[in-house]
Amino acid sequence: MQKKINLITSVLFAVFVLGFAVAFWILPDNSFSAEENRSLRTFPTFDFERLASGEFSDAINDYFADQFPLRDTLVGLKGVTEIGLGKGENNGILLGEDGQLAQRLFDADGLGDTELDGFSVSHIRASAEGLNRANANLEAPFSVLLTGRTIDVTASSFAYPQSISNALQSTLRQALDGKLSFVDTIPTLRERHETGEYVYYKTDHHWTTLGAYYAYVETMRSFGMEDEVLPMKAFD
Amino acid sequence: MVFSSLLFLFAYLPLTLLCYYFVPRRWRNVVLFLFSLIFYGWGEPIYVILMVLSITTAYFFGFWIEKYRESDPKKARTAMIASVAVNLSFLFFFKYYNFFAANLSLLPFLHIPVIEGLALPIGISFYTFQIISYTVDLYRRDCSLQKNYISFGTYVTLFPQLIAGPIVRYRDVDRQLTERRETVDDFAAGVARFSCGLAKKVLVGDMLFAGYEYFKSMAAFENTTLGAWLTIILFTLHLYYDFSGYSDMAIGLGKMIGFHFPENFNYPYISKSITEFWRRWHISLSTWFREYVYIPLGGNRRGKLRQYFNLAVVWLLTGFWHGANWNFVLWGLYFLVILILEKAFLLELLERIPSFFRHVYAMLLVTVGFLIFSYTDAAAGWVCFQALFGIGCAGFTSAVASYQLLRLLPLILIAAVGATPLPRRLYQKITDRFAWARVLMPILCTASVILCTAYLVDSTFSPFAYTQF
Repeated sequence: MQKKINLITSVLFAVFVLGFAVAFWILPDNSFSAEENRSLRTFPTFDFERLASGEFSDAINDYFADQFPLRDTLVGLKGVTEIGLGKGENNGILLGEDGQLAQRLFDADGLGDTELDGFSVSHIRASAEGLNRANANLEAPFSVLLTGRTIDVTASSFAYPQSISNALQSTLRQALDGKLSFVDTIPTLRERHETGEYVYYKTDHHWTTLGAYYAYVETMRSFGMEDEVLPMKAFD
Repeated sequence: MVFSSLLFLFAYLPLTLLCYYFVPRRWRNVVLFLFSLIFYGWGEPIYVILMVLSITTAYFFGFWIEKYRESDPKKARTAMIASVAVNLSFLFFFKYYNFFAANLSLLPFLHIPVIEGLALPIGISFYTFQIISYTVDLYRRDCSLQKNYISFGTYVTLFPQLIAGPIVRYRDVDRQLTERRETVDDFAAGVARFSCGLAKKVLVGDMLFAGYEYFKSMAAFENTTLGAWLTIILFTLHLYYDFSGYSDMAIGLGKMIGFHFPENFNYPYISKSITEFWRRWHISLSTWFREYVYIPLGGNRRGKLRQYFNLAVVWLLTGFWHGANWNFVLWGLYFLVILILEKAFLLELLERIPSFFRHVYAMLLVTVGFLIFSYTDAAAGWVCFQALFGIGCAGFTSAVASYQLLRLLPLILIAAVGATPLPRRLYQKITDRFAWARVLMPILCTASVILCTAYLVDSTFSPFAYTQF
């Protein structure tokens, strides 16, 4: 019986490896991935220099990965396995309690996760400068509202430490000069989310129409115009 | 080329196996030799020349050694030393020249120029040791002369063990070069071993490595005790899965083409002492050093003092073999001291404590050893070492460190259990009880290969960058 098992093992392996190898080379290349919104790699150009430096080898491995038959199924398989192992995230995307998906802050590779990385901080500061300058030339009152992302507002649905989510808003706030007013919609939206209201989309980083409404209410409040807030029905 | 890559699995391997089995038996070594050269040259074509030079040198010196080993031992000895010297000189130059140049230049009266861009040819540490084993085994009359250049070349370049071992001694493979017979049973056993090794590397080793790198780089921003411990524990687990996984793949591939290589790992992490650890970890390397350095120096047959000297030479060399850096020498020295202590009295002492503590003792020392091994930057290594005891830390843990630990915990536990003989024993028990359970083997093999392929294919998948609007 062991002989039969051995034969099956050998054949299965040979068939799998040969089968996919043949399928890979025979099937025409796919040019675009709808899932990733990017074009897929084609066969890399060959020259001895690139081979010697290892570039060609890397390029061809990437080409293999991009054009592999049943690629989307296989990627899905990995995702399922990673989640099954309780890793809570895959390829830099976090999975929340309710099936939410959110991209981990700035670095998918995790460097500088404890605070914003230097690049992001300088980027935020530069944006703040721009806003400060724009305000200096304006006569009208100027308010800044930085819309939160799913990971900021619905952070409680993820195992990911919430303290880091606050870094983005507070960094910007500190960099803006006092003449600008800052509308912070995050606390109210977080409250709403925690009471179960669907204010942010689950697999997208935008707020829902309901979330937008609450942001509108908050904005009006910051302008001191609470009395003029239109009820939700008015927007139907 | 790396075994755990799509290029190897779905281009090189099927092509090699097809050609190998398609040609008549007497051409099989030619196929292997050529394909192995391609495998090696794929990454670094230039260094194929170097390797062929090493092979050719040892091949020709072999004739001299064989000619004189009975009639004129002195001549034979000279030939052996000359051959070994030539081979070692290549290794020395490419791997260690810059180290010695840079360090000796620290002396005020010396200035030896460092050679920029001197690269380490891949696998040179492995194939050089294999070639030397042939030369010395031949001189010692442990094997016969290999007259066939192709056969000898096949021995050295055999793609399964060329890049990362096991270091196969010539005498272990001598007959197999010409007399091996490939069977379906061996092929299946090879598939099983290979699938297991592939899973170990891709599903566990690589994932643990990502965790290790994360914690190591985190220390620069936020140094925590938990972070430090996780850095070295993850490294320790990762190295086993990576290295033994690779060895498994090598042994498995060997079986697929009719070769039987010796084991390289024997569940090192269940060791109860460092002495035991080194009989279970990278077995082919410690065997090589024992056979070709320790024993020729006299081993333990020339008195205690000489034995300690011999051990020192072996261990400093073992450490140094791993890399041209002081931390590797320190690593060797670290084990030298522990081994001497164990030999002197510690082993006896250990016999008296319960085995649980002996495991803890051994694993603690091994893990700290790997701290030395993994930090080539002494300053960073020292910071990590201190952090283990809570010195110089921001705290025991942080929000992010705890988060990472929790999410990696299932993987760590699986890795810990997988490093013991438990899974294998369980498999044996089940298949002994229920004969039909043997069908688990093809199922697990196929599942492993499919899942590993999925992980490899995923490597270029970039989640829809929705931040791009």
